[in-house]
Amino acid sequence: MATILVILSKTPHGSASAKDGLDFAMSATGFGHHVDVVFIDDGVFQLMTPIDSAPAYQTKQPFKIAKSLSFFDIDNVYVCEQSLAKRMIDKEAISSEYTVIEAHDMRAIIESHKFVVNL
Amino acid sequence: MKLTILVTSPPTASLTVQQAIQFIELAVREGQAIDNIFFYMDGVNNANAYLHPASDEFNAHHAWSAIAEKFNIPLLVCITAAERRGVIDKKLALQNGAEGANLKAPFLQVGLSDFFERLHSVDRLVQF
Repeated sequence: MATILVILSKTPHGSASAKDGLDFAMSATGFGHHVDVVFIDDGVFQLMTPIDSAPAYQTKQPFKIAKSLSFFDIDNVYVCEQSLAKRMIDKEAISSEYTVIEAHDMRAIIESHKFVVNL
Repeated sequence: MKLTILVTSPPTASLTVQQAIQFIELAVREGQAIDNIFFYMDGVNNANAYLHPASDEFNAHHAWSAIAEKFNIPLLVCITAAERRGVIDKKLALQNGAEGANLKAPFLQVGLSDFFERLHSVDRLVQF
């Protein structure tokens, strides 16, 4: 078993990458790896809930997939506080199931994993 | 030491792809083993055999095929990410009623499961 840190840094709808990144994290635990996730930079937008008046585009909502991470045995989901602040996102708007961390906590988190991927 | 190379950069990021290939050359020369090269996200586009950049430009598809054959390294492509981007092998082309296949040997379609199963015996994961 390896410990894998999956860093998600892409906007939710700018490409297919947000979906691929979440798929990657959720698949890994099924094959005996331990996975933790960090939302950083534009990746924090993946956790935003669309406003009610938003048009119903045919697209998967990363925030819904992110909510299901705990069902895939991913218990540590971190969100970078500086990334939220830079984008004027109130950290109170972030679900309490996620742990808000400071940018300088990242080093220790990265060092505690065998593999790190940025998706 | 055993390494897996994870490629998420597209073939058009030609400097990144050339750096990856240079890294693999050096690693093998220094006695490291490359378990596999895994293409994911926009990296699956490197497996598109229909890529035809101008003749004086870098051809990522050719470069990957050459390094794989030189050192006998498996080129594994995530099937879900590839199908979403129109990169399909002959079998999938037949299934989907497509006129042609653009994923050919030495590239091979696999699931994410293959990547994670192989990862158990790997020491380092290097992403480009």
